[in-house]
Amino acid sequence: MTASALPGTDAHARRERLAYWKLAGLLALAAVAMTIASAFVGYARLDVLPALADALHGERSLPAMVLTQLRLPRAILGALVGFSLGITGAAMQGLLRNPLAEPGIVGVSGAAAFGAVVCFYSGLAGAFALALPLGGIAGAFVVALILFALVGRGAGTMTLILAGVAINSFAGAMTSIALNLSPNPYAALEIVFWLMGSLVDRSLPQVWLAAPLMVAGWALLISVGPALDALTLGEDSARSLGFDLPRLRVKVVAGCALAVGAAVAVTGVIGFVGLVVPHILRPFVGARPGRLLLVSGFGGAILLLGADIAVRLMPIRPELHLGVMTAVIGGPFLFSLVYRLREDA
Amino acid sequence: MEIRAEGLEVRFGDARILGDVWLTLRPGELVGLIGPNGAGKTTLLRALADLVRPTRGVVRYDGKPRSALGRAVLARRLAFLAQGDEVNWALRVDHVVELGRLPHRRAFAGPSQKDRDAVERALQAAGVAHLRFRACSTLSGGERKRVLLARALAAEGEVLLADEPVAALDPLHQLRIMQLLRSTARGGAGVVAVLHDLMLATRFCDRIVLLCAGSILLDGDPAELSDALIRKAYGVTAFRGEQDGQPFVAPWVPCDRSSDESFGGLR
Repeated sequence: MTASALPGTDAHARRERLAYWKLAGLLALAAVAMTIASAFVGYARLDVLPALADALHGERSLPAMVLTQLRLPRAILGALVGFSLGITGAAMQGLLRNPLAEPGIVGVSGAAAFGAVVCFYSGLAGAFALALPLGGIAGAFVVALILFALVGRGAGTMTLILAGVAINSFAGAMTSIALNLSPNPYAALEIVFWLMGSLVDRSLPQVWLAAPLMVAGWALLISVGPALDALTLGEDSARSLGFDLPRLRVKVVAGCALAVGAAVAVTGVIGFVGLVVPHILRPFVGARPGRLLLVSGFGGAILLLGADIAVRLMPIRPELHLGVMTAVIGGPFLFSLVYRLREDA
Repeated sequence: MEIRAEGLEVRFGDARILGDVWLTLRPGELVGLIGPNGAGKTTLLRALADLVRPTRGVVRYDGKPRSALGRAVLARRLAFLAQGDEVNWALRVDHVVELGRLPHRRAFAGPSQKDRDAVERALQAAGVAHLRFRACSTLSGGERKRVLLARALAAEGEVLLADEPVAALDPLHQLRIMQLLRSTARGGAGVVAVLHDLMLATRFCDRIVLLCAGSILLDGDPAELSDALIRKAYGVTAFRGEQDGQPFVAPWVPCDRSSDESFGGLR
């Protein structure tokens, strides 16, 4: 019996593919719209279009500088970091087959934060502009190497999670020591505020530093889509379908280290985006992990830009840190998720 | 494709799971892999599918080791149905069955007409076509098992290795699936099914491989499964019957009193 015996099957498959690309396209458009909206929102009154015209003509007018040095880096980084958190959350949940997995679970974000804190503590952060993000990236890189060594020794998924717990606790403890021994209260305050995550006062060079790393991470994560789909049937089945699991783990860890390491290095730790977004979008892609990756990226960008616009529009000064805002949204969501999971059990 | 296990030994730590197993699987044959719990059936099946590395010995596919064949080629030619009914996330039935076609697809290409036809045939064969738009999480264990069998069938490989394909199925579906496995073998595929039901094994299989404590006690015709072998492997006596000219074997009573006593606490 062939498919032609069941009219509508082919049409259905086509319709389904179209629906997926429509969803991805819509989310991409919304992410672009949010990025533009983010450039329009700020404390100073700014006519964005004349400022853009000035900037394009190379005039160093005040509006042009506000746009290129304050608004644009913030908007672009919001989109890039949101995308990184969303796609990595989806990949981690797919790899670990656990709805409570999030980008930081293998320890990459904790280590990146610690790397940046070392730069604060040592005074490197004040010595040159890109020291902070470079320190963060170095932290993520070291952890990625440790995790690769583990995978190389045959470590499975559970070992990766446990290693992540160990790395996160250690990085957290070292960060606390840095705070504890901080030379003056201002340095400690600076570290604490930085750890809360924010897009304020970021520069275009930071964007250029982080963007290529993040894009490389996204590419790696998108390449594992079919393997994550196969993994829904368990490890043996995925291997029998021709997928090399150690290679899959290395790719996901590398993608996570590049995308989230670079994100944390420039913005500090922003939680919950990577956890929440895949959950919201999962029903729209038939729960297929491979198809969840790209849309979660766009969803993450939308959510993070939305939160960043919200902190600027809310009448609270000084403005709330972005990590605080996402946790305020994400906490109750996580609770409702746990509540529903309890009902399913 | 002919699969040969040559002197396989598998150890997990100190425990020897398989010891010196020699076995040949030929196309067109339905082989019933039977044996008591812990005999090493799943490990043998996984070793045949290149999912566990033997500590000694080698598995050859048409005379070649897996390394010479390549992982992707083996995935196209051999389908493996794992024990249990694991499906993570609320995936839809037709999407699960479609996963069986992954080895045949180019990276990131959608399913072709050929893939869709194979999925359709598998859905029909396993009797789950009516469930195609249901999420697997809403199915019963038996239904999910049949969906996963459809997934393995959709690969349309030359070999199907199925670990307990009829566990958790009702009698009607047990019979249907055994008929399906036999017709798959008649179609030219080599099929190995791990079975606990001696009646189904002796009735439907062309060949029986009886495994006990990691060694093969019998590799032969179902008629060769003697009372002595059943007693030795399972510790039970056998009831033999014949229906429509087909002989069958069913386990009857435990052989020794000591096993009664060890279960005494349950009464």
